[in-house]
Amino acid sequence: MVFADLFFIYVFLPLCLLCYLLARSLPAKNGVLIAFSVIFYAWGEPLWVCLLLFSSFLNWFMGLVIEKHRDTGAGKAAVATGVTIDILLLVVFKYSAFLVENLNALTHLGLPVPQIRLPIGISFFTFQAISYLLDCYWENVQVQKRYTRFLLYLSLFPQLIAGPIVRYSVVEEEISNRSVTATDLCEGALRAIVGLAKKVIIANNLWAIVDTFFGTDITGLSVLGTWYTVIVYSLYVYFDFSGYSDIAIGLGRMFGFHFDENFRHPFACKTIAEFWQRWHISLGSFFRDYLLYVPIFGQNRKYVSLFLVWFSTGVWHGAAWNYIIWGLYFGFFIFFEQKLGKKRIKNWPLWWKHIYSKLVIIIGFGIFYFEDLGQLGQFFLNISGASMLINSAPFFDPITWASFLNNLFLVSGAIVFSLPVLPKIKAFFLESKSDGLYAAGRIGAVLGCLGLLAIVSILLVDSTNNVFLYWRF
Amino acid sequence: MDGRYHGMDYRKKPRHAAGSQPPETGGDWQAHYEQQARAVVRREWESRAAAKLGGAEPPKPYTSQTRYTAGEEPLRPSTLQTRYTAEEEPLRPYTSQTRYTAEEEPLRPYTSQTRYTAGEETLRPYTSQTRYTSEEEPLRPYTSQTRYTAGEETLRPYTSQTRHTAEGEPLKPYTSQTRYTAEGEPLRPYTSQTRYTAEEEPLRPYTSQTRYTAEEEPLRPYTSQTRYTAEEEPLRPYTSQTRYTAGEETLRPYAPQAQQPADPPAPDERPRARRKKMDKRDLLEKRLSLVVLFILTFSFGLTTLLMVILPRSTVSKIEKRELAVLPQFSLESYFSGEFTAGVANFYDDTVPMRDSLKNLGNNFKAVFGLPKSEDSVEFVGTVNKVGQKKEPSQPDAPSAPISSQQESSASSVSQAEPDVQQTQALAKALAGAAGRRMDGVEPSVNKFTEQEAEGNMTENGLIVIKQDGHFRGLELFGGGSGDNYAQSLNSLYDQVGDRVSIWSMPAPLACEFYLPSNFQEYSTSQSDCFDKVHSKLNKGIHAINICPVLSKHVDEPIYCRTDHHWQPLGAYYAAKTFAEAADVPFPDINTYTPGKMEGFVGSMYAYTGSSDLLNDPEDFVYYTPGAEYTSAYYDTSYEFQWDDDNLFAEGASGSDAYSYYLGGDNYIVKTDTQVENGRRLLIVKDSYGNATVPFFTGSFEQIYVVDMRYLQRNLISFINDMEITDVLFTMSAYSLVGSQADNLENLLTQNAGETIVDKQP
Repeated sequence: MVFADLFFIYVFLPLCLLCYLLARSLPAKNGVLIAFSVIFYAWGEPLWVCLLLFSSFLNWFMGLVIEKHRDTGAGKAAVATGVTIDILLLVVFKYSAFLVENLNALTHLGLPVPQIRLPIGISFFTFQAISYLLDCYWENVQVQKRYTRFLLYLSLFPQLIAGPIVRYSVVEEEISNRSVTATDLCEGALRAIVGLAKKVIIANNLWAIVDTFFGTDITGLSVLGTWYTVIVYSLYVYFDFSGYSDIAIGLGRMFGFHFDENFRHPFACKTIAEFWQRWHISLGSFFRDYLLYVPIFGQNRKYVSLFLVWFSTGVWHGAAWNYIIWGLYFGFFIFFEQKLGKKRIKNWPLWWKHIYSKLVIIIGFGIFYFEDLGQLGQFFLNISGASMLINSAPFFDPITWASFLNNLFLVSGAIVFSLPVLPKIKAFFLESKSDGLYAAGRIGAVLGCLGLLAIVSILLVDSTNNVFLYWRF
Repeated sequence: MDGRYHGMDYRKKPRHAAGSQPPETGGDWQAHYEQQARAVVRREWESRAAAKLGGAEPPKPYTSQTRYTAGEEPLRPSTLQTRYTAEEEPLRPYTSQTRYTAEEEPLRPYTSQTRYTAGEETLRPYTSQTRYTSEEEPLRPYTSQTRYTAGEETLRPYTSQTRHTAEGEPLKPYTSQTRYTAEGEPLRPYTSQTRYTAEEEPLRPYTSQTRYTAEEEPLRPYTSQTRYTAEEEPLRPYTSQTRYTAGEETLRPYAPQAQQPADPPAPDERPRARRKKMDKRDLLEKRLSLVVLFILTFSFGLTTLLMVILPRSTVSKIEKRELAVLPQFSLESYFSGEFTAGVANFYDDTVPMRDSLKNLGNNFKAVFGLPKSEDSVEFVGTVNKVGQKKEPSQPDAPSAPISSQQESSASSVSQAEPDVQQTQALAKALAGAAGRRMDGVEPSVNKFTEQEAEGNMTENGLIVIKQDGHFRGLELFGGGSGDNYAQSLNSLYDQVGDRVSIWSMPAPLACEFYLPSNFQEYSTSQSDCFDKVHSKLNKGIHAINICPVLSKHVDEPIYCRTDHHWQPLGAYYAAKTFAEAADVPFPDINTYTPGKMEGFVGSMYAYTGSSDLLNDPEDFVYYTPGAEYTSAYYDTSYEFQWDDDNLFAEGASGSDAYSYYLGGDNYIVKTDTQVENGRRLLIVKDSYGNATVPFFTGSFEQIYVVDMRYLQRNLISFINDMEITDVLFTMSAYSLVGSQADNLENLLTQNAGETIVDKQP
C-alpha cells in the first residue's frame, strides 16, 4: 500500500486510528498496530510478508542469544550470524541480478540472471534489524525480550516501507510505555498532511517535468534544458523523499512515537559535509555509527573507511553502477573538504559556499538519475555545453522556455519551500509572547492543512500511479 | 652577560697572606676589597657608558644605596640589594631572591624558587617545582607533577597523570583516566568513563554512560539514561526518565506522572509573574490542541464518511471508459497481488463525482505557471524534435525521402474506446508518436503556422495552443511509411480491382494546418506523407490528397478545438472532394440543416488535462441532410440490430458529441438513399470517417460503413455479396501509418470465402 493513495488516507488510516484509540491497554494498542502494519505490508507483498516475519523472528532470537551469552564466543557468533544473514537477504533480493550481470560481463560465463522481484522496504527494515543487533551487542540498548514488541518495532507501518531508518534506541522506551496526547494527534496529523502535500502537490508535478525531458533519449536536449530539468529533478527527489519522511514522522507521532528527523532543509547547506548532515540523516548516521568507526583497517587508514562508507551509501540506493558512482562522488567531496580543513572552508565567502554546494549536489542528482551509463555520459556532455559541438544540440530551445513559464510558480515555490521558511513562520507564531498570535497561528495552521488535504485528495483522484522514488528499496 | 658579578667573585678566597696589611686603607682588607670593587665598577661603568653612549652622558656612580625609579639608565651595576621595577635593564644579574614582574627578560637563569607570572618567556628551564601559568612555552619537559592551565602547547608528552585543559593537543594518547575539556580533539577513543563538556566533537560514539551538557551536538543517539539541561536540542526523543528544566522546548511529550518514580517536588523557584504567564500559556496550548483536534476529527471524519456514503461513480465521461469494479477474491488473485491492488484501484477509481473532482484538480494545476497569453503554446508530454528546422514552402512540395524508426502505435488515439487501459496505452502511444525522428520534411504552411508562439509545457506528445483568443489541442504527427496500408490496398485491388473502384482518401490531423511555425520541427508534413504512401499504391487505385483543399478553408471551423476529430464542416469539404472525383452528385451545404451542440469539451482535454481547454468549450456544429434515407445498424459480425431513420445518435452530448455520428464505431451501418445511380459505396474507416457519411446521402444509392478495426467478416466477401461499386478508404493520418493499418490485411484474409447474408427484416 502507498501513502499517497485515497484508499490509504480514507479507509485504512481512519480504521487504524479508530481501533487504536478504542484499544485501552498498551498490549492491545500494540496488537492493533502490529495487525494493521502486517496488513499494510501484506497488501503490497502478499507473499513476501513472510520474509518480514522471518527476519523479525531471526533478529529477535539473535538478540536473546546475545543477551544470554554476552562476553563469550556464542554472543559474538550470534551477532555475526544475525548481521550476515540480514545482509545476505538484502544482497539476494536486491543485488543478485546486478552481481550476476557484472559477473557475466567480466567472465563471460553466461550464468542465468535471476529475476527476483524486490520486496518493498527490504532495505529499510533490514538496516533497522542490523542496527538493533549491533546496539544489543554494544550494550546501547536493552535486548527486547518479547517478540511482539520487537515485531512492532520492525513492522511499524509509518516507517516500514520508506520511512526513516528508525533505530531501536529511539523507540525503545515508547514501545513499552507511551501516551498519546491531544497535541500529539494534532501535530502528527498536521505533519503528515504537510508531507502528503509535498508529495502529491509538488513532487508528482515536478516529476511530470522531469519525465518530459529526461524520459527519452536526451541526446538532442538543449544545454539549458538539461540544467533546468536536473534542478527540477533535485527538487523532486527532496520533496518526494522528505514528504514521505514527514508522513512517517507525523503518523508515528499520532500513535505516540517520536522519530528523529530525517531531513533538515538540506538545500540550506553550505558545504557537502553539512549537506549529508541534513539529508537522509537516518542513513548517514547509520553508516557513521555502525561502519565508519569500526576499526577494520586500523586507526591510520581512516580514508579507507571513508571510501567504504560512501561506497555503501551509493550501493544502498540501487543496484546499478551509477548509484555507486554517485556515492563515491560525494565521498570524494567529503574527503576533499576534510583535506582542506574546516578553517580554510570557514574563510570562504558565503556566496561561494552556497554556489559550490548547490552545484555539486545538482550534478550529483544528475548522476543519480541516469541508470544507463551512456545516457549519463550524454548528460555530462549536455551540461558542460560540449553537446553543442558534438551533437549539435542547441543552447536553448523553446520547449524549455515553455515548460519553465508553464511551471514557474511550481518550481519557484518548490525552491522557496526547500529552504527553512515554514519553521520560521511556525516559530514566529508559536513562540510569540502574544497569546493572540499563538492562537491565530495554531488555528491558521489547521485550516491551512485542511485546505492542503482537500487539494491533495482532489489531485489524487487523477492518479494512475503514484510511485515513490525510493520504491525499489 | 655571562653571569659573572662584575668581576667580583665573592666566593673566591682573598689572595692575601694572613696578617698582612692592605696597601692603601691600612689594616682592613674588607675595606680594601670594597674600594677595589668600586674602582672596578667605576671603570667598567665608565667604559661601557662611554662605549654605549659615545661619551655624551656623564657617568653616574651607582652604589648599593642607590634607589632607582622607572626610566633610569639601564647601564648600571646591579647588586644584591637592588630593587627593580618594570622596564628595567634585562642585562642584570639574577639571583634567587630576585622577584620578577611581568614582561621580564626571558634570557635569565631560572631556579626552582623562581615565581613566574603571566607573559613569561618560554625558553626557560623547567623543573618539577615550576608552577606554570597560561600561555607558557610548550617546549618544556613535562613531568607528572606538572599542572596545566588553559592554552597549553600541544606537543608535549602525555602520561597517565596528565590533566588536560581546554585547547589541549589533540594528538595525545588517551587513557581511560583522561579527562577532557571543551574543544578536545575528536579523533580520540572514547570509553564509558569519558566525561564530556560542551563543544566537544560531535562525531563520537555515544554510550549509555555519556553525560551531556548544553549545546552538544544534536546528532546523537539518545538513550534512557540521558539527562538533559536547558536549551537542548528540541528534536530529540523524550522518554519517561527525562527531567526538564525551565526554558525548554515546548513541543515535547509529557509522560504521565503516575508512571514515573516519585521525585520530591522541587520548590518552584521561578518568579511569580513568570510562573503565571507560563501556566497560562500551557493552559492555552492544551485548550487549543483540543479545538484543533476537534476541527481535524470533524472534517476528516466527515470526508471519510462521505466517501463511503455517496454513490460511487461508474463511468468517466471524460476518459470515456467504465470505471473499475470490485475484484473477486480467490487465493490465486490474492497471492499474485491482483486482488489487493484491485480493491485499492476500485476505491480510487470510483470516487464519487469523479469527473467533477478531476476537472477541479485540472483547474487547480493551472496555478503552477503564468496565465496563458495570446499566441502561447502548451506542450504535453515527452516531445522530441522531428527533424531540423525547415523553411516554410508551398503546399504540394515534392516530397523528400521520409524515413521512420518505427511504426506508430498511436492510431489507437484516434478512437475513443471503452477500454480501461486507454489512458496508459495512449500515453505510451503518444510518446512513441512524438518521439520518432524524421529527416528532410517540408511542412505545409498557412497563416497560423507563420506566427511565432510562446511555449508552455505540460504532458504527452500533444500541444495546446492559443490562437485568436481560443485554445486548441493538437496531436503531433511523427510520420510513417504506410507500407502495410499500401500493401493491403494493392492486394485488394488485385482481387476486386476490375469490378470495383478503390479510393484512398486519408484525413489529415489538425496539426497540419494549425501548428505554429516555430514548432514545426516537432511534427512532420502529412501532405507529403500521404503523397508518399499514395505513390506506393497501384496505379488503378484512385488516390486523393485533401490537404490542399482543407488548407484553403482553415479560417472556417473545420477541426474541433478540444477534440482530436474534425468538425463536420471539414468532413464536408473532404466528402465534396471525393464526390467530385468519383463523379457523383453532391448537394451543397445549403441543403443541409445545421444543428449545434454547445459546451463540447472533447478528448484533447481528457488527454492533456489542460484546464484551458476545459474552460474554453466549443460548439459542435452538425449538418442534417435534407435528403431522405433510412439506416440499418448491424454489429461487427453483420448481425442485424435495428432500423433507424437517421445516422445520428440522439443521446450524444457534452464530451461525447462526436459519437453523435453513427453512435460510435461499433456498428456496421447500411444506409439506403433516394439516389438511383447504381453506385454503392463501402467506406472502410476509423472514427474520422463517421462524419463524412451523412454527406454522401445525396450521392450514392447505398452506403455501407465498416470500421477497419472492428469488422469481423471478410472484406472481399462483403464487397462481392453486397455488390459494392466503390470502396473508399478514409482514415486519419495516425491510422494510415499506424498499427491499425495492419488489420487491413486481416480483413482481406479472415473468414475467406464465406457468404454474407443481410438479415434485415
